[in-house]
Amino acid sequence: MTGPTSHTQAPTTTPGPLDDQDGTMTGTTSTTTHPDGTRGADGGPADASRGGGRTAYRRDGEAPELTGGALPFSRLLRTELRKTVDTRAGRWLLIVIVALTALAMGLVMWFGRENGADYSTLLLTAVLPQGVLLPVLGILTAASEWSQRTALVTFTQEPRRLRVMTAKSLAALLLGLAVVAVTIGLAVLAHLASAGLAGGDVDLSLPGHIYGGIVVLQLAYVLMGVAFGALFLNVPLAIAAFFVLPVLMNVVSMTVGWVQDRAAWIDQNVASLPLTTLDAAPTGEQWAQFGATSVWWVLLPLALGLWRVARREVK
Amino acid sequence: MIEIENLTKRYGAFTAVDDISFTARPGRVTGFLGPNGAGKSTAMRMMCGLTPATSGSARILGRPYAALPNPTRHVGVMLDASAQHAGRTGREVLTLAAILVGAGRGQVDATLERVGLTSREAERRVGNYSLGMRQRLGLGAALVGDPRVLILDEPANGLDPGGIHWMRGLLRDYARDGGTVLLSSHLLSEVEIIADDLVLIGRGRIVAQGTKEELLSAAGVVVDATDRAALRAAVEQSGLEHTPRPDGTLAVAAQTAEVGELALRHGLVLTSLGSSGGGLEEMFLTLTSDDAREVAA
Repeated sequence: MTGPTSHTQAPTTTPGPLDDQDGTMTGTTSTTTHPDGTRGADGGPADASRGGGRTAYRRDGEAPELTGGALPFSRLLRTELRKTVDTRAGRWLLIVIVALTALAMGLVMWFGRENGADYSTLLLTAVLPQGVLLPVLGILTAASEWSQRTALVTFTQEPRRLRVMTAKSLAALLLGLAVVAVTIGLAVLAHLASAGLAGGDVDLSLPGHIYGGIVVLQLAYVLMGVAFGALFLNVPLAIAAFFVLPVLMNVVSMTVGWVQDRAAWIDQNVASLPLTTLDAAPTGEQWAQFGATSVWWVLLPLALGLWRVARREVK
Repeated sequence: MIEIENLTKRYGAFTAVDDISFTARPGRVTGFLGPNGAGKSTAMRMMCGLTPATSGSARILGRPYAALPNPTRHVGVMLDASAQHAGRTGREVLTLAAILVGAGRGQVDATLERVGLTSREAERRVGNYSLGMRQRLGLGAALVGDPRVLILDEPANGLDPGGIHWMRGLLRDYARDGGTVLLSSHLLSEVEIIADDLVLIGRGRIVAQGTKEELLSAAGVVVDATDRAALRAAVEQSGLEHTPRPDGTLAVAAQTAEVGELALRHGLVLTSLGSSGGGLEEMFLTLTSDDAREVAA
């Protein structure tokens, strides 16, 4: 090995030689040393991977060893979560979702001011606007990088594009879950307030399948948003398709007899109804119908979208 | 170290990058120079695995980009300074890059300072940035992982002369510490200031490559003497290729030493003799003008 040089990891505040070594390199045979003990004072396992790309060239011209591990999925997920809320578009979308939820509950409270608004009515009313807006979150997550051209940066940071898309999907699902949790909290508060004002009874009992139904339904919609975003890779187009296609589906199922007879197996709007019906939990057949429509409307576009993302030239 | 071997990209009948091979070495700043549409950006995207190559290979630090573990820790990439979400602040853009390489908050601040963005500028949204500020931010995002290799597409675009001078200092220091820099430009004057090695590309093909000095001397010398007629006669007699320049000086296809000896033999008093300095410009124009015209057509 000749001419050991060192490349300090900490960016200095003034551009300049980072070490007092001469920094000469002969050919390609050189060694870069890692100054030990410079890995950050908190040096836990996660921090051990810090410290930039340290490279050691071998004399025989083989690929140099690169220290540090692969990009941990947790970091990828963390950045994707952050990206959904660190832009005005993303933040406003979340604010609008919560605001509309509150508005919907406010209306229910107003109409139920005499006897107090039901907890179940409050909760299920809020599910409606969210089912419309949460998918937009998924669409933005999957498609906005292509509209904003930041895909150029993202897929340079992690060339395994499906891994990025997994992180994006998971990030959107986690945010969807958070919104559902906030909604349940708001519904409880609204019910307590409404019952208190009207002097009615506080009744927070709700069939367990409703909670499950809401979670499954909203997460399916979020994932459908991700799927449409990945399929079109264009935010306005994906949003338009997301809202127009189900309506078209509705029209078709009302006019074409063959489809109408099998609507529960084809139309997701029909198949999702039993999930939030108070009277009875969905039957096995109803779950199967919801599963089938999810294949057509969520998994199929998702697979096509992922295939597209994996193959597309990033410009 | 970046090794490009027979890299080719075809779009149907159009060949954007045509069988290019070169190596960008550690410790040097390599300028990738060519007119707009010459294939520089396509080649750089292929190096980073964003565009699949039709044939050939690009290896960075000995392996294909996609095979690098956590690539941005080893390779700092800026392919388009404008490819940033207009709604994010500069600091947020750097923070996202820092999280992925495992750098801390302190590194974000240090990098901001390194690329000359004040904390006030860092709090502004990228949508309000000038192109020069975006270049600084993009360079910062490339540097935050403390990589060994930098791949920068048109990094000096939009920088004022002071900014270009600053970038030269930064990249030279980076290379002196053993880093490899590959930067593209369509302006010779920029690359001439910053780069050590040059790769000239026109219409997808490499038309010349070598160290800046080699290419400079290949472009010949410019010479002037007190007795211009005698100088011209002497050069003509020697059989060296030459062209009179509009300002009365003479461009000669030779090394400075050859012309000096010639002057000595003929007893001429030279008033100036040197590599044709801006002559690299002429070479650039000559080497790429045909290509450039056809691309424009």
